[in-house]
Amino acid sequence: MLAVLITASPGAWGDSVKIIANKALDQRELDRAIVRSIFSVRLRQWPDGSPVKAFVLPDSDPVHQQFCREKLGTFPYVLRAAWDRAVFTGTGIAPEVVKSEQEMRRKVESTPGAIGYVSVPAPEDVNAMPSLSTGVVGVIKQ
Amino acid sequence: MKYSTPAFLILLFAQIVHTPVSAMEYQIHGFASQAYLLSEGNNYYGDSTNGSHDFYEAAINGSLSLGHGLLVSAQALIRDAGISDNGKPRLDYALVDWRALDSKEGSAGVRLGRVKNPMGLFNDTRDVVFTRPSILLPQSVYFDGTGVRSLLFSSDGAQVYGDINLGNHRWSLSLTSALNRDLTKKEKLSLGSHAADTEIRHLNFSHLTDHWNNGQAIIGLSHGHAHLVQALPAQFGGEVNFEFNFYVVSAQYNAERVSLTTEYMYTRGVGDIGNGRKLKIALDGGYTQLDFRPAQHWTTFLRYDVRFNDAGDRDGRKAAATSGSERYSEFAHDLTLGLGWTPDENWGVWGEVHRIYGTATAPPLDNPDGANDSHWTLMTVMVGYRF
Repeated sequence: MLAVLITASPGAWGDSVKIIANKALDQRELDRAIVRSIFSVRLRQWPDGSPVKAFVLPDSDPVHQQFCREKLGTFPYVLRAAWDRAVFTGTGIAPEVVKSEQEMRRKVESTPGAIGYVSVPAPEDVNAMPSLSTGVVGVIKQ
Repeated sequence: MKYSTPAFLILLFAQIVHTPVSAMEYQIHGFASQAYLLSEGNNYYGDSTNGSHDFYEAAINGSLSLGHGLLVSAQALIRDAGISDNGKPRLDYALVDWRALDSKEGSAGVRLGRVKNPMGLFNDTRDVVFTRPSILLPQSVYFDGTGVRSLLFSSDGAQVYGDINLGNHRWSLSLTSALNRDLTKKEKLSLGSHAADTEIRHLNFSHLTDHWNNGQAIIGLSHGHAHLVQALPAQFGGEVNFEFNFYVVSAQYNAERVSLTTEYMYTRGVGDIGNGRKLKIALDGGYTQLDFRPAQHWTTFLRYDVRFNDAGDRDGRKAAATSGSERYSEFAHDLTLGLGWTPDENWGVWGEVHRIYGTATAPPLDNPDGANDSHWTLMTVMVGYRF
């Protein structure tokens, strides 16, 4: 399975971080409201009833901080408080922390119902990183 | 429910065995923390005037998501805090959560079993240092001085909840209702060494919050109710019948480097205390805390916390005139300065200094001869590990 990058309204979202989701998911569902609901542990299942599995990078990772700001409009510590509330009251499953973007891609690709995010190189860097840009284009074509 | 029918368990088991393993999500988490307390004047959690290690907490929890909106969770917790908590393991929560509605617009569901009681911003995770705004919670709203605090932990009963997204606001409501039960021996002890058998009836909690902009601002309203019925020997007037209502108003603003949190609590008790005598009490208090994050991994805070045993006698004069008690035993003004360091996701180290005027928050059990120092200082450090 390959990760699919969602392309919904990237301009309004900020564009240094991309949401990625498992290929089996219907990407039309992935708008800002659903992404916010998932990462603050409010939404537990996809519309077809299958469980949501969210992956995140460590709180101190700059990509995570950028993700919080751009995609969720919040800060890592506010998000962490929401996860802790869910974990320590038994009311939700917190996202799984992965160590690197490589691990993020691998886990999202291989886990049904998975959602995560990766950094996107700045436009001037794309040519300098052909392998990554080729990979991203290949994924979008799926 | 705690006394759930076998049929319900069978249905749940059937759901588990019919759910493909790939559709199951689970998590296991836990934490452990140990504090050291040193005080001058009065004791807080053990013999802290000579230095006390008598404050630690640890928990392990697990959740299993079965798909179709079903989640099963439980947590075991131990806490030792001076004489008021003894380090015996307790089942903190054990619940089945059925999410009937689950969409980006909102959700609704019901939890059955032992569920956490939401009240204010921190009650439902009050014994987990990683979720608190400080090592010791502000005592105006989260009073820890007696064993009766256990009534606030969790309810054996049902919790109905729902939330709805309206523009940039997310409104959440939960209603929790507990089965009637008798106070445990330990809870009775904290009411007085000769307390008669006591039943708690109609314990319920209502909690309404608005999260604006994904938690940038949070406001909350909480209400709790409890009815205490105590059978007294006939010569003492038959029965104590006492109703408590408590209300908490909460507000928090979160910016990148700064957070501002303030809460106010008002508690009212009315009832018969035997021999036809009526008693009315009203206590209140509140706090304001300013958090500042100067650098990644570091937090500092400054807090003013005040608690009054009688909202109509804030300087304790009436109590001093009628019962001869010290004025300063009727209130506590606590100015706290704190520092926290979380080097990674797993470890946390915190330290704080309290300068306190008044002894209303000094735990009576840790001060058997009375808390006799009106101006006292409390320093505490805590180290915690989580996974």
